[in-house]
Amino acid sequence: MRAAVIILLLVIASGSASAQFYDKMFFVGWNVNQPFSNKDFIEKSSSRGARVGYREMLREQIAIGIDLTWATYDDYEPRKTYNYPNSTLTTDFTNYANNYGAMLTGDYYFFVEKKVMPYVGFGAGLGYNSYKVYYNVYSSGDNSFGFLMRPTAGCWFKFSETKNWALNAGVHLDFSTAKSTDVGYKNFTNAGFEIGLVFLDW
Amino acid sequence: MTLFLNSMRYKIMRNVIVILSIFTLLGCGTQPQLSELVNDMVVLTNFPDNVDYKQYVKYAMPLDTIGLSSNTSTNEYLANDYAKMITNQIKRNLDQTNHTWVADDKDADFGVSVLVVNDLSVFQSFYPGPGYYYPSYYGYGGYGGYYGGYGYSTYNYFQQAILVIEFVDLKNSNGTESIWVANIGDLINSYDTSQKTKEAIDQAFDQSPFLER
Repeated sequence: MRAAVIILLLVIASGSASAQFYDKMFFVGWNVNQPFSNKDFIEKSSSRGARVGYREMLREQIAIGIDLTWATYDDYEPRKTYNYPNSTLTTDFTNYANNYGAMLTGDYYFFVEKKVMPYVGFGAGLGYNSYKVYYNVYSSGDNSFGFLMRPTAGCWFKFSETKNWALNAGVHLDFSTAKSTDVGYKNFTNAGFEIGLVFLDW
Repeated sequence: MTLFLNSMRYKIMRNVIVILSIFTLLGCGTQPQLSELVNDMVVLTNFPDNVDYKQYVKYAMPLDTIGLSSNTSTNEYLANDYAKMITNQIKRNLDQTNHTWVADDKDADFGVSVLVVNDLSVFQSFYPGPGYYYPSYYGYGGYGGYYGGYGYSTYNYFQQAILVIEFVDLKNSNGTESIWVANIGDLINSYDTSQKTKEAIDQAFDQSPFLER
């Protein structure tokens, strides 16, 4: 599947179109994230994340649209014995957090129609986090919704003026109020970077 | 014409990339594989408050069979090598903690009940189709998903088993009260079941130092 995507990327890279001004854009990007909340549960960074987004230009340098985000974090707790008042448990744990977000997002572009387009953005919306603990074939967990916001900064790189797609690279900071008392999250905060494509002629 | 073809090619490729990307990204492990989880068995021991374990010296336990509670078999006990390995390992641990095996329940301070609880679950799902992709169910041993042109059913099977070791009080309550229970699992999906079962039984005793006399 990934090979197919890479081949298609190469094919599309050879194409061009004559359109110069774009008012609708579509983003698809791979996200790498580092969690900051509740490191007892998950401390490891995650390379399993993505964003798809859609934008319409509101004015010359301002676009508004939606972002759908996803990230999966996991970490491993080696085998240990846990003592409780009337029971004792020995096991290892694999912890998972699957985070999903849907946000209304606005971007501000510093230039108009350049090959290099730096921008800043801010998204706010709904976050859904699923926390799971796996031990052998057993599992337990908790799910929660919360407010999610994501400030971003990034840049597009168009390889030529005539291309109707661009490479996008950026950084983001996520803050979600999706808490879970079961697994010890008061909120979920993470930082990350993204590499992806922008289709400028959607 | 060239312009038109370029534009068409762009749109087709763009849509394919977006669809493939979304499926690729959504398919990236949002849950662990079974093989990552079953290296060691889970050992849980439960015990009531205020039990003076020193008073329990002699125990009774069948050495050649263990009980079986299963929704896939009408047998009520297991009498194979695995069952004997389990009872031997329990006896070894009880010997090491200075308890004495007796053949007759009437002479025992506590009885050791050993039971395997086996459960097979079958899940059936129907999807109306067409073209809907059904991802693999987390319940291990089932079938993966596929694209369906028409409505279709999928079956997922999941089998698991736990070993329950229970000490019942024969001295004071005539076998109606449990003074120690160990639950060990999973016996079906864990690697190297015999060796891991032995280690888990040892662990159940190791994490219950109060059993030592």
